[in-house]
Amino acid sequence: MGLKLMKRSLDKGPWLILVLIVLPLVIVAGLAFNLEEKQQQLFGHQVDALLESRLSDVDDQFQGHFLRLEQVLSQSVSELAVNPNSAYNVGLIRELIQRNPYIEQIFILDASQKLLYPSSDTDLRLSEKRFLERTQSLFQLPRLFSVQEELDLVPKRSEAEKSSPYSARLQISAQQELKLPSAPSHTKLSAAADNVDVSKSGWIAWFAESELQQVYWQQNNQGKVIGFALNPSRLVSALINMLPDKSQVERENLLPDAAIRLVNNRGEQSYIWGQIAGSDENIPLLKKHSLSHPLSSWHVEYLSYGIAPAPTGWGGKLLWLLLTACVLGVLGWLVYREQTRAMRLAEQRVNFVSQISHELKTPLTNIRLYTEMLQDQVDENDTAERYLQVVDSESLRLTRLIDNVLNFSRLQKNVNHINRQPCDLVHCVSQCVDAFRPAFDQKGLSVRIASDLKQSLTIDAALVQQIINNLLSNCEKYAANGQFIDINIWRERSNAFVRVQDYGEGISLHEQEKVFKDFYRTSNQLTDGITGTGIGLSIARKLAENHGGFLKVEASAEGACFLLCIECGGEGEDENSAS
Amino acid sequence: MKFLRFSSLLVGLVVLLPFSGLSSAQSVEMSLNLSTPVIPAGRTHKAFIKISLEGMQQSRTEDRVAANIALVLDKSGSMQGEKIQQAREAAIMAINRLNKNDIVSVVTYDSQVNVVIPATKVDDKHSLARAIRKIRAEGNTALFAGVSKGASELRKFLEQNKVNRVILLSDGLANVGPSNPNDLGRLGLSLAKEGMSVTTIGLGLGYNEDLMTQLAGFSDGNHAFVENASDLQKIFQYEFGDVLSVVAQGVDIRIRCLNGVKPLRILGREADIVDNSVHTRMNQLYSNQEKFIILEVEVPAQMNSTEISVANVDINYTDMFQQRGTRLNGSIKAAFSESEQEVQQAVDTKTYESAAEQVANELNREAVELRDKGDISGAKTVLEKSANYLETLGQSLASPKLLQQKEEALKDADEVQDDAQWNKKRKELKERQYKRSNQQSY
Repeated sequence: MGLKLMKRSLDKGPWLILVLIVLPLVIVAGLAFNLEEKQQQLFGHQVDALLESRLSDVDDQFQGHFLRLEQVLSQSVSELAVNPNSAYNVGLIRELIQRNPYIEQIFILDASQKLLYPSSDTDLRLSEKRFLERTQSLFQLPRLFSVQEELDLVPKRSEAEKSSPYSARLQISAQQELKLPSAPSHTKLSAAADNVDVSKSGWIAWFAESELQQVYWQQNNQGKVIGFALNPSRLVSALINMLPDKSQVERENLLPDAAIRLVNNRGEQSYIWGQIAGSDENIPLLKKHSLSHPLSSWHVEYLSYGIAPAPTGWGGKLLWLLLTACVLGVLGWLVYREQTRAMRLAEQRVNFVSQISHELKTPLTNIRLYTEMLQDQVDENDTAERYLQVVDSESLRLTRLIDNVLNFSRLQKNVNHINRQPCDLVHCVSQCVDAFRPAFDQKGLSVRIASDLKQSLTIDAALVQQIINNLLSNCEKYAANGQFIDINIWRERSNAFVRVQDYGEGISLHEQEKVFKDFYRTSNQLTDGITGTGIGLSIARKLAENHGGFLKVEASAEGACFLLCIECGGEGEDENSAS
Repeated sequence: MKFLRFSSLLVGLVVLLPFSGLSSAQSVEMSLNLSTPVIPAGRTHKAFIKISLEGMQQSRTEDRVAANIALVLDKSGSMQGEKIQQAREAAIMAINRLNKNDIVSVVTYDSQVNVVIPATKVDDKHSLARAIRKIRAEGNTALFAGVSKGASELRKFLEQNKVNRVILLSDGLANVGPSNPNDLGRLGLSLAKEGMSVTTIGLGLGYNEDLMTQLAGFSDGNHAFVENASDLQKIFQYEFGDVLSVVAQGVDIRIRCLNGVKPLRILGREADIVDNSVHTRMNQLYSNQEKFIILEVEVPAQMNSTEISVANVDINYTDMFQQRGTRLNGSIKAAFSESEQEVQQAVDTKTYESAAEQVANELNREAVELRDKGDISGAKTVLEKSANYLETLGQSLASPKLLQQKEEALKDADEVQDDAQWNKKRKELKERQYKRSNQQSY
């Protein structure tokens, strides 16, 4: 039996310890995972911002290019019309078209948006004819060159000039690109800007023959609009030249394991740069950035098989986890070893106590037997008789104590022996009371038993007596000043009830359940003068439960009130009343 | 042939050569001719004017104009093997012809563009060769970007007193970036405005001949179809020979027709014709190479034995040696006669021959256009018509050149039907047309 108990507790122990090890590990691992995820997220955001800035750098450079183009073209406007009131000179215009690699065609509209040049009234050159054919639809649009189209597109020059060294490099190539044969000096430009009163200007991007053409226009204060249709191929070429080539990419280690792709309005790749292996179509797209007006139908794409998979902290974290696991494991093992040893010791003690108790019972029985025999031979009023009564009562008390101890260890081992015999419950209770009488008398307590129970019940009398003894023993210890103890016995259906009510101090509300716990005592102070083991009520309740009933504290106005219920066999009340 | 000399005395074909005189400094010689200097009187008649320009032999060979060359090489996957190897060798050999006054840059492209040698003076030919030998073929064909970057390298040393040229070698279709002939043509136009010219060399049968001829055409660059990579070295030699013999750039030609003469068309070149004036350009002239323009005009009916001025010609160009703008002008006169014999005797065979060559060339173009539309029999008919025309004129002018061209036309008429060979044939035809209309030296 003892082995079985030990095994069971040993079975549970390792699991508990395992849980104690695994749970913290799981929690720590969870936290680590969470942290890692957050770090990855943060990294993701940073990467995203980085990609965005790289792409918008490109956009900024392009905007810078448009800005510079604007300046060059404004300069051209002032060259064409020294006096803004005079008509533009067709010869000069043609010469400018001939000379300027950016300009494909120039057109001039009067205030009422009538085309002045190239106009079908005059002799047209081949290129002018083609231009008119292509742009017919454009000039039919109303209010094309009005304030709505006011440019909101070009960033401040300073904005284009700041930013990363990357953009600074682009800047240089851009300036080189714009080194036109007739490139104006800046002083000349500002002087020109003073002469020409530009009230409005802007960029238009429109589709002609499925191709995007950029137009820069300016309106002077007479309402005349001069427009420059740019050579789209040249524009793309210029944009491409602002972007780094493979050598530069490698030299400056731009875009490791990534590429940026410039995509035109038809969704075709115009240019790609970066250090990435593999065919362009298969590289995943990480970020897309639409370019600003007048290239708004274009975009740049950031391609990569994935950003350098974040400096994962998993290495360090796993190490910590492993360390924690080791420490917890060692601790768990130590605890387990300690626990099994303690268990073994406790087991030995319990066995020892129950064996001792058993050994004590035999001499005690003999003591009681011989005391009783002696009592028969001694005269009732003899002093010796009084002494013998004390011996008898004390040996009874010792018997109860030993029974408790034995029961306790038996109950611990879940041994459940109920020996039901027909017996008179009232008589059974009276016997207990009688046994306590000398002690009660001494403390001035009198017991009042009330019962209407007449027939015998099938119960384990010894067990019931043990319960009653424990209750009475408590009364003796804690309710000595209560004068009375009332015991009511009755039966309801197949249950017998015994209520024991004393008039002592009572049990405070919060202790009403605790008193049934093993080794619990309302007061542990030795100075109280109240002795006890703290297992009486616990045993009593378990016994009652083993007998199919219960033991509980009932609310009462004064003192403590215990209600015992035990199952007393199939004899119902109906049968009872019939008999 | 003998009568020619007499006729030039008899009839009033007069070429007024430049005011600047025929001094030794003159680097370009202009001659103006009429195919039929004597025109039958009494009815309107069509005639061809040939304006021919020839760069003069440079007195000392080392005394040449510095070149600024960007070699743009296709190194896409299709160039692998012999092609890229030959291209590398051709490039190295060509660069060896340059000297330290020249600037060279090498740009390669596949899917991406790589400036292998940024624009640099040709000092250390060994290290240039080393860089070129490292070029390996792989990837796609970003032709547009390649030309853009090549032009960008030229721009670093762009000077009007240099020959600024992009030499593009490609064996495949542009499949990255702008790729239609028109896009590339516009780029060529823009580069021509800056004083650059583009030569395109198509290698093998995979390239787009329209794209390559358009790109070259706007800047008067050369175009060649090289079927076998082993011919690349030869072509590069020719090309560099051309580049190193440029004597004039930015040639602006203005023709003004007089006395009711009406300009009809310029054969083989693009020109603006407004009323009675014609304007066209050539990007450069090479020494010892004749470049010409054939203008077809309609001459109104004139009385017998009269003589009128047909046109005035005004030419402006940049003289590469003297580094200044130079002007040439002259005028063409025509005589009118009722005598058939006089007319026949006066015919300028050389001029007529050139004109006929260009007319046939135009017919050849027309045939390719028809063939492109799927009209094979139409194309054949046009080529046969061209052959007939060449036959007639070849006989009457006693021109072996035209008769040879006739044979060519007949062969073309025959081969135009062959679907299997059409890709190659078309490249040949495009190349030939381009060379004829631009009077390419090789």
